[in-house]
Amino acid sequence: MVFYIFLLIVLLLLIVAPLVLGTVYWTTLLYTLLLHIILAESWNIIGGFGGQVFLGTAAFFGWGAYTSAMLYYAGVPFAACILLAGFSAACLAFILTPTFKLRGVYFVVGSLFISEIMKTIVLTLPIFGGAAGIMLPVFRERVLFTYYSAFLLMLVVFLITLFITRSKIGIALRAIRDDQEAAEIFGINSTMFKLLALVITSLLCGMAGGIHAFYMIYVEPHSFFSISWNIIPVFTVLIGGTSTIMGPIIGTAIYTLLRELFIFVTGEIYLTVLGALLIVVMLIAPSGVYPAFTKAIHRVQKRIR
Amino acid sequence: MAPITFRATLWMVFLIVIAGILIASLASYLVMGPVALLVILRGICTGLFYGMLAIGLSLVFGVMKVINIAHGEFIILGAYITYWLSTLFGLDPFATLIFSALALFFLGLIIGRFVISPALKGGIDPPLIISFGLSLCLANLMRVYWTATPRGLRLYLGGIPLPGGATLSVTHLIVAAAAIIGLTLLHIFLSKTYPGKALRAVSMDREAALLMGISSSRIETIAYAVGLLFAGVSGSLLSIVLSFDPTCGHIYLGKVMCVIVLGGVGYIPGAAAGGVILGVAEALGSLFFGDTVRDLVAFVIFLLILLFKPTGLFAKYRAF
Repeated sequence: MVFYIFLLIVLLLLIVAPLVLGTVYWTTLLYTLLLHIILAESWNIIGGFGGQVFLGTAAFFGWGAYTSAMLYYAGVPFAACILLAGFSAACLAFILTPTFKLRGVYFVVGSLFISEIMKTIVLTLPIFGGAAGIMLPVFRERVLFTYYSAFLLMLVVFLITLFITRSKIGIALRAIRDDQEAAEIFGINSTMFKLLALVITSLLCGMAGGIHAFYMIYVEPHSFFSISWNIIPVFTVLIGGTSTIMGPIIGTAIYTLLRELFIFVTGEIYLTVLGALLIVVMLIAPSGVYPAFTKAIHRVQKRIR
Repeated sequence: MAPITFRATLWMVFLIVIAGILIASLASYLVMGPVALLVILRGICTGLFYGMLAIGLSLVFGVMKVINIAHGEFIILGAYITYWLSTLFGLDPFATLIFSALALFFLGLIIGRFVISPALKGGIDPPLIISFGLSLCLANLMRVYWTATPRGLRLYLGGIPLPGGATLSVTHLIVAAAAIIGLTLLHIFLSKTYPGKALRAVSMDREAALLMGISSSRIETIAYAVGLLFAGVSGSLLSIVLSFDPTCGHIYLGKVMCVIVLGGVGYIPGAAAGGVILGVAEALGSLFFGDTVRDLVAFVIFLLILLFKPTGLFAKYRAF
């Protein structure tokens, strides 16, 4: 009960925050926080529950951004643009079905190349505007508009994640993660479930990309297919703790906090610090900060009793 | 450990590769004219060099069963060592090979001993993620301290005239020769010395090697260090012929992975053959479709090979 009241308060605060704080800096910070939470939670579906270290979310993110930008010019309203961006990213995931033939490290490295291939395709085909990209029109209250879209999408992501954890899909995905052969013997169609997880991930990433296109205004291949969109979701989920709902949020909070701190203190070098942090966390607590934290709390509770 | 057996089918594969390259070069000669000859020859030279790039990662992958995602960044680090030593201190670029080899060997010993080896106890995922973190660290450090300016020595030592007016740079030939020498030395190391034999034993069966009195974790560290040594040396060769910048590490990782799936894990002639296939395919791709396609070729070949022949072309012939 206390938890739900706390949750409600946090959500209300998030709704009111940009109106009260008013400055662009805080709204931007909250917006990036929400965007990264969306990406982390959606990566958690394939990477955490499904256990597939998929390093190609930038492909869906960028593809969603391009779809929504191009549809906006075709006269489609804002909300439909974002929904269709997610849908087209999901179609892209369907095309990628054969990648599930790859196992282990080959899957990881293969998925890393998908965003590179997409970037080169977008760069070479003239419809996408090449390296110059697509410029969206500037409209008033753009920051607030994208902020609330991201907020709504984050709620959707949470509902989907809750649904997955409570349903058979989650159980099947966890079984595949722990032992694919054993899961198949029990009659789980591993390819289908992994594809389902990838489609959900890509849908959410594509919609996030669609929103971010309106936020950035300027859609171009090098920033939207940038390798950092592959890295950040993986990074935040692994730091926070995989296959939990709280893990990615905590990971994102740590990431955003550190990034803001280090950009002020050390400047450009912050990615190095984050990489070093990832190594240290993997060496000390391979399952992530949040599971290690809850384990420590349990131990303390036992000792008190 | 049985020696590598050159059976008839192996020669068949090599013959098919050579015949394929010949047919491709003939066809492109007919379409494009004499330029094609130069492009193909350069493709073969670059290809042998790609074999050298790949063998370091292949070694680590064979022993640890984990991809070192930071391999591309280590290659770029080796390239920077050569670049700075020869531009700031005026050393001969080919002499700096020793420095980058030693530097990356000791770096590999340290990282392998204190980071990768402990992480391997937790399964496949932690070392993979750690190498990802390493690549993030290295790429960003190089970008901050040495800026993102593309650099490269692009040495020119004269050219060999080809029929049709084109000239093949001698540097390319020297790099190809260096790659062949490097691969041969690695072959001698793996087949004649104790650490090399132990390394092959560990990669074949870790537990059995432990029972035979081989310290597996020490051998893993040595394998990691030797892998980085090859990354360093091939990075030095890279800075002599091509240009590079701190962020292009993952492009080289893509090429390396492509060569590995073409040639099989840890099979030295396979690495050379896979490299040559990739080099010629890239050269022809950029000849016909423009230079932006060049980096795409490796990714596409990688995915296609894994989808249709996941074991690679030389699956039966592993050195270990």
